[in-house]
Amino acid sequence: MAVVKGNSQGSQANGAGGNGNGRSTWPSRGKGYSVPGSGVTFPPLRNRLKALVVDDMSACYRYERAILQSFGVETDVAETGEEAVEIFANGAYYDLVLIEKYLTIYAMTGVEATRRIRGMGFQGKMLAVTAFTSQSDRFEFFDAGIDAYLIKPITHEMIWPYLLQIDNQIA
Amino acid sequence: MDALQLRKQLIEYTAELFSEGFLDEQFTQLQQLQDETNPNFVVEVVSLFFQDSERLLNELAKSLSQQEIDFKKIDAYVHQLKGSSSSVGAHRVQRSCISFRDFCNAKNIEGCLECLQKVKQEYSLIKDKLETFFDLEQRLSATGGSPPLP
Repeated sequence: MAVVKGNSQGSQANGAGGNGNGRSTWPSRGKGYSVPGSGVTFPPLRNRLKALVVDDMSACYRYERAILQSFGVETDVAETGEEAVEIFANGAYYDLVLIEKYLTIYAMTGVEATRRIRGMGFQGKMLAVTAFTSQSDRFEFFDAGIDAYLIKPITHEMIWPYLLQIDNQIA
Repeated sequence: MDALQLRKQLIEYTAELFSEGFLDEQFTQLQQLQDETNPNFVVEVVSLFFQDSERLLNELAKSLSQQEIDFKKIDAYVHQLKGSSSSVGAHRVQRSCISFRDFCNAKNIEGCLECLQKVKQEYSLIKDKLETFFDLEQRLSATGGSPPLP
């Protein structure tokens, strides 16, 4: 049975419209995110996006979830490749998946989980978020179906372009 | 010690942690994510880093004490430790993971053992320093003082 650790925070939306596919849209004056002390402001997303973080290091997933939640992205966590695959097999929908290479040692890797999730027909954005980079690691992940390869720790500036792309693709 | 003195001490201590390379700008990112909806965020994430690290350091010690060393396993643990330390800005721990990985890739047992000692040392240092940091923050809060902005 997959264990999905859901949002620990409430929504940022104050009532929502719908766009016909069960997804909520933000109100026209929805909150964006301002990075404290930097003067950088990210405008609010039009749609209520949903993300899955796949990582078994609790400090990593706690941090990544906070980054995504600060943009108003509803974020779940799976700690193993098997949990992530099961979540998709059970019909869950996500706009974005962040996935680490090494999950539980000698169990399903993030590369294998990516391959299986893509094999199930998932066409959403998948980003490898991992601690080291090497040519072979990158090749393995891209071959499995990842869209981009990011090195930890992710920042607001790193993740924003992908959120914006996803948001703009939704009617 | 009054709030003003504690605040000054906290500012100076924090600056020291950055200037001596114990912490990097990622720690500031954590502080910026802390708000009224997430008032203990930094302590939570750092506590999780402590838990992750202690488990990983035990696993690394166990793996390096085996007759037949499984370098693939060691590589995975070092990878995870680097990820966890980078998420909280534990810069020196992170850096020692880079050398560790190089020795692991070269299947150099002596190098790996030295790196394990180094990473344990760096972890122990940052743990003490962060505990001191949080203690100062708590004492400042108890006097009614407001923490410095990150």
